[in-house]
Amino acid sequence: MSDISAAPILEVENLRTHFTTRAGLVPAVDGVSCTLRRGEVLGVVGESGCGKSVTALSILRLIPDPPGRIVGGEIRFRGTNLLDLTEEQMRSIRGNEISMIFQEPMTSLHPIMTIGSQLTETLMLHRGLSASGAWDRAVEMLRLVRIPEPERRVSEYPHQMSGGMRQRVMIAMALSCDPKILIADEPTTALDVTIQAQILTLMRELQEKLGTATMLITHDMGVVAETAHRVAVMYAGKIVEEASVQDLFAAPCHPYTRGLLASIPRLEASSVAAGAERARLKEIPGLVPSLVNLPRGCAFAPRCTYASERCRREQPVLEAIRPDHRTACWEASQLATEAA
Amino acid sequence: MSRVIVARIVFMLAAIFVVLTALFFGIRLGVGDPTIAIQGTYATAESMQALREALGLDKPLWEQYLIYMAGLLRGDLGVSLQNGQPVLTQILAVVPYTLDLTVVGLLIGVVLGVPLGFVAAVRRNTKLDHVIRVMTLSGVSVPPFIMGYFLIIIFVIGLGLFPVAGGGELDEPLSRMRYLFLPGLSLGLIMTSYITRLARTTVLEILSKDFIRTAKAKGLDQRTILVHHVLRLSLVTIVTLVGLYATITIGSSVVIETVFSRPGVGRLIVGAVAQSDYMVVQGTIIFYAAFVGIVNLLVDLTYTIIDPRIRYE
Ligand SMILES: Nc1ncnc2c1ncn2[C@@H]1O[C@H](COP(=O)(O)OP(=O)(O)O)[C@@H](O)[C@H]1O
Ligand code: SF4
Ligand SMILES: [Mg+2]
Repeated sequence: MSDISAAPILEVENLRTHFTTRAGLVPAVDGVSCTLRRGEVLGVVGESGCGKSVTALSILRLIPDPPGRIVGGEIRFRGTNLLDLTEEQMRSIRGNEISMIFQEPMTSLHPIMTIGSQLTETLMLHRGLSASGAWDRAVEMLRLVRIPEPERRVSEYPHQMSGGMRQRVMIAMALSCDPKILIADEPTTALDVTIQAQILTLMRELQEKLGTATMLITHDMGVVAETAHRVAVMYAGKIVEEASVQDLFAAPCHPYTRGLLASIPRLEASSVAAGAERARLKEIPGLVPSLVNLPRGCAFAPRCTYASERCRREQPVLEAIRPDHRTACWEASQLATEAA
Repeated sequence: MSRVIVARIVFMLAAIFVVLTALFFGIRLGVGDPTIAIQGTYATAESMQALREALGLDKPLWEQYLIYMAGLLRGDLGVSLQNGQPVLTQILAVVPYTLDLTVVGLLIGVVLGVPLGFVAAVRRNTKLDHVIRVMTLSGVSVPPFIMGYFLIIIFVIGLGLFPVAGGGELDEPLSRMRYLFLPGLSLGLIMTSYITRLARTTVLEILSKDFIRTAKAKGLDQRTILVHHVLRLSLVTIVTLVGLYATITIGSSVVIETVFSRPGVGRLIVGAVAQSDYMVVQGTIIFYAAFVGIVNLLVDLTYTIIDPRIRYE
């Protein structure tokens, strides 16, 4: 495990990314602040549509414009605000210093390029390797992600591989230039359960071996518990709670986090904190809100059993409730004492 | 691979058989006696009966059908009802003109259409895209004969550059090309419009794919992405649909051959229909069906070269 108190390598501050849609302005990411430290795995969790992918794509400045735009905030990578860089400077960071794995292994690889040529592209671009040097490195990377017979597989096409194998290729591709940061956007969501476990194990082992700071996006609290050091919980474009995994599972402060924990079927840790609510909160009741017309106060209020008048009126801000544990909820301190 | 080719050919022959059978009976039951059309107002009852016997039209329909099919198997398409010439000879005499026209038309269409569609997609919603859209929209919505007359007005009447009618001599390449220029350009511009639209849609669709996002996340620049990731893949789709467009070239070429009084299979069929010359109509339909079949076969073969996902066992 890594040193949690290590220096930050990525600081996202008050990031706001909005989309202009026919239905109106969608503030998909609306004031997200979080920090990724050297060597750590930061889990980002939240229900589908809460802005996890948009956050990830914003960091690489890959938001499709139109309809999307980063309208505010800073993304500091080793002290430099990525939002100030030229497109060309940004390209030298993508796939090199910061790389990304996507949710859809079946469609994220080019269908009519060989695995090898897709892997060598980045190596020749960022590492200046010769074609044959890059090819050797590609084979080596495939071996690293434990693809059997890498010498043969490297000249195959994606359609000759299973989803799990393709995701391994994506991981190999993302790690091939020794990035400082890996962003993994739900890397196992689209896979079968057994394959999910294999890919997660692989990612965990590689992370421990290479020490790559990782932002692991998932909607599965179980994955967070097994893989992450710290967790940021997102709801409706904002981070509502952030803490170490141990803290979060032992003493979740935000009602939404509690709901998420209660919805994992098999985790012992959660039963301590959310045992009483387990029966009621199998699924968090209510719908994920439409981002177009969010309520004025706390976005979670319509689904929250603790919601008060103040909650509906004023937006809670993300504040430390304990050292290294922040949450955005008016009732947090009361809930925290209750849990303790 | 060869099994697929054989299957294709069998399918093509089956299709020709079905179309031909339907045509054979449909034309005879629907249009009726061609002898009036042939002999015109001078026909007498006796002369018509004599002609019917000479052409075998007095026999029962099913017997005529069997005779025709048996002839086909021997490569005999019968003789024209109008002038008694073998149908095959007539068709073969004009096929080179029609091939010239369609090949040049498709070629112009691909050479102009693919880059135009590419540019329109990459510069989507810019002025350039709008200009290209208006041009292609006129191209697909203007009927081929208007396109033909339009070019005649500019190049023949205005500039006095090219001959307006005819096809030139088959054994004189230069004259053949001079006569081909305007009809080829007419068909080419029509095909350009179709292929530009197709290429634009195809490229836009590819640009929205997940693997393009992956390419961007790798740090590749726009040019590399377009050349290495988009172009070849777009050709896979474009080649398929260009195969489909072979049918459009047939429709347009019929009209264009008529406008330019150019010899060709299209004009042959138009004349034959006007004169109720069943035999020539049947023969040209066989030609068209074979043409479409062969184009599709070529498309399949091209596939195996450019798309590794398709491997015929
Ligand atoms: N290309 C887009 N156009 C319009 N809206 C988008 C686009 N991408 C994302 N959004 C909006 O942003 C919100 C967050 O999406 P996303 O970050 O993908 O959620 P998730 O947490 O499931 O990854 C969604 O509600 C969606 O409506
Ligand atoms: S601020 Fe109020 S409504 Fe929002 S989560 Fe806390 S208690 Fe619930
Ligand atoms: Mg997502």
